[in-house]
Amino acid sequence: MPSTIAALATAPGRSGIGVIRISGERALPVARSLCRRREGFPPRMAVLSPWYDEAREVLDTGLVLYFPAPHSYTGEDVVELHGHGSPVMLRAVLNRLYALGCRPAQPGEFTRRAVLNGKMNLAQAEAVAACIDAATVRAGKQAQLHLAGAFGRKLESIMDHLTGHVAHLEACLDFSDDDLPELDIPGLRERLDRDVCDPIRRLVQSASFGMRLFDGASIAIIGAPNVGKSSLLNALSGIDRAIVSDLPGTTRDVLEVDFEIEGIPVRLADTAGLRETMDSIEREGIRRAKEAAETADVVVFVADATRPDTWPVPEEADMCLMNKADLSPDASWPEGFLSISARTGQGLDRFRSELAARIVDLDLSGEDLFVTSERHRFLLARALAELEQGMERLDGESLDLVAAHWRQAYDALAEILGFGDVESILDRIFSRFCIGK
Amino acid sequence: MKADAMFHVKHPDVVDVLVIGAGHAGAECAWAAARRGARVRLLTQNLDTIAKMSCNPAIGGIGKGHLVREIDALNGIMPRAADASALQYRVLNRRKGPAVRATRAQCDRRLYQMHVRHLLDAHPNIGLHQATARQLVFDGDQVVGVVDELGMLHQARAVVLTTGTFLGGLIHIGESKFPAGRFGDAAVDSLTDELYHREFRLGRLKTGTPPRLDRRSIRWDELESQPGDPDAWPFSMQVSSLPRDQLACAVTRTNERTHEIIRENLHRSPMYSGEIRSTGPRYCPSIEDKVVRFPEKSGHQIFLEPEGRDHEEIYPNGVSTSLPLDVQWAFIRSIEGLEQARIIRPGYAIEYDYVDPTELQPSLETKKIRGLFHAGQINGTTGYEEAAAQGLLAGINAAARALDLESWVPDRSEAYLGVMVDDLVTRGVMEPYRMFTSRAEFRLHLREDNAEMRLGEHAIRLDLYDEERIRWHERRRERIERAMHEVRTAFVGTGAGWRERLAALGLPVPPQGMPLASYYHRPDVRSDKVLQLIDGAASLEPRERASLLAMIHYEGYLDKQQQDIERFRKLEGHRIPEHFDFASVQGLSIECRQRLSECRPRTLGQAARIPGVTPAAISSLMLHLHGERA
Repeated sequence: MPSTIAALATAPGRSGIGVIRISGERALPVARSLCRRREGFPPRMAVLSPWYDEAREVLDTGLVLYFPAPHSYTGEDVVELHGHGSPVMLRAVLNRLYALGCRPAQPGEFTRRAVLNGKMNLAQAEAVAACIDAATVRAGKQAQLHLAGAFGRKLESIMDHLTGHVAHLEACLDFSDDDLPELDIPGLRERLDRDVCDPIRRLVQSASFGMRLFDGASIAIIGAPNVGKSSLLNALSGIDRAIVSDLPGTTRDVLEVDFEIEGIPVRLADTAGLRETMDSIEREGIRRAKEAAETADVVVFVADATRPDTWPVPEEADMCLMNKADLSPDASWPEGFLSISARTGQGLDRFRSELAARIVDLDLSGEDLFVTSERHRFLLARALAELEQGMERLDGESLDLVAAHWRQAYDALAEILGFGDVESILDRIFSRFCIGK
Repeated sequence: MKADAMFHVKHPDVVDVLVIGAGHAGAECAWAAARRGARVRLLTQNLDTIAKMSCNPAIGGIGKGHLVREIDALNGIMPRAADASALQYRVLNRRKGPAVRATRAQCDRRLYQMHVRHLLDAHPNIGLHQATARQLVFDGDQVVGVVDELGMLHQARAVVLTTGTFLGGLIHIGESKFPAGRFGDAAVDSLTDELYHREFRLGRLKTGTPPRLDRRSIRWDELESQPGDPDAWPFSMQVSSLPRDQLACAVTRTNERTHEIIRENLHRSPMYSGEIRSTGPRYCPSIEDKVVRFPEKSGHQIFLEPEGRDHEEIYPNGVSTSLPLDVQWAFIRSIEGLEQARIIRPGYAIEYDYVDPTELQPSLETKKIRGLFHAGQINGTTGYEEAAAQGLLAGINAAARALDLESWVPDRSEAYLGVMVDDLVTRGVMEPYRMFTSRAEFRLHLREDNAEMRLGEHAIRLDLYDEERIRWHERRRERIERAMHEVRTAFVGTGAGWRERLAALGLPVPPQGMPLASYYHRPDVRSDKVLQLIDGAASLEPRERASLLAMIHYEGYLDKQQQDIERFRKLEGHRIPEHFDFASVQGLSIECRQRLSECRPRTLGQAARIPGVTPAAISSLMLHLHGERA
């Protein structure tokens, strides 16, 4: 029998309120023992009660909420304890629960049980993690859409169409030519492309945007010392984050600032100006600058309009900015530079939109539903590949292979929702969860 | 009831296996049990109607042909009798892939019966006995015999019920109905009551058959003729050639006039008047069903099939009906070529009892009564081939029960027989169950050409082959494996020698050297001729060459399927203890718990195939069976 599990559901550390969640068959008796309460708890009603340790001394006083199975998050009996947010006392309450027969929950175990008990499908369970991880409002709203099952419904409708086409094909295989009219191959091809392949293709494409919504993008600003990289960072993020001075080599470490573009979380890194130097601290800063540039999704090279020696473009640059353009009206620099002024704000809007276009395919930003996880993208792409391989064989003399490919495509789609080889998928997904969800 | 003094007479011989019914399931069952060394008695109402084809005079078809090959690989009688009585062979799905290619034969109805009867008569372990079974005799939860209608007690260690359409059989022709197991044969009622007493879940199903026509009254010259295929393979590996003079069938169609006659008289059909409420086979609808369900079609095809070489009876395939006799005459005569046709037997519908097959273990032994087995239509299936394959399996396992031998059930990756039995005992039936290739998830592997390679070793272990057949099998296996090895390692080159060889066969020279399979898959090749590049292929016969070609054709796919099979077997390997308490598993919905408790699956894989049991429930079950993970 699955044991009863308990864990802190709120973030560790001091807070106003700390919530402990208990789930499993013994949730209610354990809660009653903790509260030394003879009667049960009314379903879904907040009850204020002291919580006792084994010495019958009060550990905390808080709300107890009882959700009887199956109408709970996990589908099992669930009790939530809302107490004061002292990490020490919450730890003591948890230890008391363990002594009463609960065991600590594994990461993601509550949600895992919700899936096992049919409270949600796998894609929804993943959306729970996404809701928690969302770093921008747009990402959060997208995660909500997935949690509500919009993605699952879209998939189911695609699978429904596919089932129809597979069934048609199977009928051709199981009934001889005597019994059935000839298979309309061009028609089948067209309908499959329209109802199945095309929607999947669009979902796969949406992943580049959807995954950016959660994974975000990193941008490194590089350039010679004192071209105004730190001023640019301050101007873009709207806060006075970096120290700006006229002295070359002011920025020595890598400075990071988070902001968003098109709802995508962006991490901008300002780096030490690249130059030969004897200063060992500055040298380390320059090494880190190069490292940041290597791992960034987009490398922005900044030059100074007033100093042609800062203009040569390094090969790692994805975008080139000419700062202090307001100070050099004749614009004699080579092509390919975008003129800006971190001081006046000139050209910054254009930079932002060009940067956004580098990060994501902006044509997709109008879609309302995005694929947001690599697992989903991978399986959708696999389904598409199987469908296309099947299509290629439609004209040949082996419809049984077409059927084999299309069935594989169906299985790949089903795997997204958690039908199929469940255990291995579950393990892969729930390893990403934090405890308490 | 105890075997006490209420019987007038005991049969002097106690047998190991008593088979009730001598249709396709019963005959095959007796034969298989006897081959395993069991002493068998075959009880039938009429010794002259053994292995009768009550409906169409044909064996095989898509999925069904696959079953017949498996029966042959297990040394059964259906393939031999079919080959011995075949009038015409057809290769179906010739251009849809080797896995779904299938064989069907029109057979001489009387010759077929004669051959089966002859084989059964010749086996020293089989005793035939004409009697109608009336009552099962139990000792606790064990069946110990059967009492027949004359009061004779037949004692046996195992009893197999193969009752076909005879249990509670009720024939409908238009407004009239009468009890019968088949037109002209009496129904059996009392056994159903016995099963009710033991709380078996029973139901009613329906099937039907067309009227038969007098050959001499058909205008054959006006009809399109459909000849046989000379390159079909006989069903039995022991038979190497087809009859030289295959008979042709003829094709005609219903027309608007036919449909009008049927529509005008629908209210007189028991299916539409509400007289029959049980479910018939959706895939084999009556002509009145077709007219109602496909009103847009102006005609339905009819095949006129001979029932024998010196037979005046013709089977019009496609017009199964339970309309009144006058309507049958009228609509038949509205059809081209049949304007003067004479009906010599009426078409009819028949309702009969079946027992929910989820009452069975995969060995086809009932879960409630030890030693009692069910096979054929009593399990809710339709078709001779489905019945025979089950009969064979029941025979193997009834002998095992009686003689304490190894029991055996093929799994879904080994045989269509395994797919069918698993479907039946796991999912039950909602309508008569027919074999389809789409039911097999490992379809590419379950082909007609490799049935003996799939099942031969099992047959040897189960004592189903005699010495000669074992030698044959081993030689064949060796030949094929050698040729397959050659295929795997063969490399098509571009040197002078190769160019000459390829040119002689009319095959193109590849741009560079490549493995044989890759060469075959080139769009400019794709020819069976590549087999002639394999030295070992020359000594193979057509069926074996087909295996080789399938291996090349499915290059890559078969390996992938093999991985799927291994994954499948892993799940099948998670056994569930026999008396496992499904109610004790937490986290199962009430529905899942109920379904699991009802079906009592033996493996996790089987549990996963029960309708309504979710993957999540399987995970819970797995956790429970293996103790919780840390």
